[in-house]
Amino acid sequence: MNPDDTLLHDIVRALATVECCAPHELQFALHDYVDTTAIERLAAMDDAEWSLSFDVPDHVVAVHSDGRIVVDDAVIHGESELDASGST
Amino acid sequence: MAIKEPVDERASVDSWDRVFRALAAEPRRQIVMSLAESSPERELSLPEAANPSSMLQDPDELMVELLHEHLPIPEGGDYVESFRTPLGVRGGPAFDEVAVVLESLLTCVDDVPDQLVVGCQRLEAARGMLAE
Repeated sequence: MNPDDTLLHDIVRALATVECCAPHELQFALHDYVDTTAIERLAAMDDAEWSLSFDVPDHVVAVHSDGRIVVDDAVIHGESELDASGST
Repeated sequence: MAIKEPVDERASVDSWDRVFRALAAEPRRQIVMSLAESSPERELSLPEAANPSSMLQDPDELMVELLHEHLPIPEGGDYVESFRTPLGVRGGPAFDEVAVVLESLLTCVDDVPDQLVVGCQRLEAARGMLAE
């Protein structure tokens, strides 16, 4: 796997976690909602701080340069992962 | 006398941009070459058709990349059509536009700089065959 594709996989896995399905079972293609090449390029940027947010069906996704992936305000992937259900 | 249609140069430039964007990733190039080598009308299984034997990638990881990143790009240009359950691909109405670029490289492989040939299984094979 291209190392810069790791972020794409993490995003897909995070959405699959929220949707309670396998990554290949998601009912939409990420590329239809966000430029996946842009994600690769952001992931390849060293020492840069950035955040990217985009909408997919039924969810809002925010990705950060520190590796956090937030789906609907719950951190699904990252160093301080919280409950994926979003319960407080 | 037939009236010559005005040439839309911008449309031509856009077409070339789309072609090279469609070919700007190894799994997408593998799909195009796999279809060109079998038959564009024939449906090929994925991820196998995108996975060269020389650099076997984890099939589950490649499947995710194909679904979420790679397939929508050539599909958007009508270069390929894909099918689900099981995942497969075949040539689309504009398949020739992408196939001709890669096939051209095979026909002039002796002129391709070495650094682009070494490590590329098909070009290495084509050069070996031409040298015989």
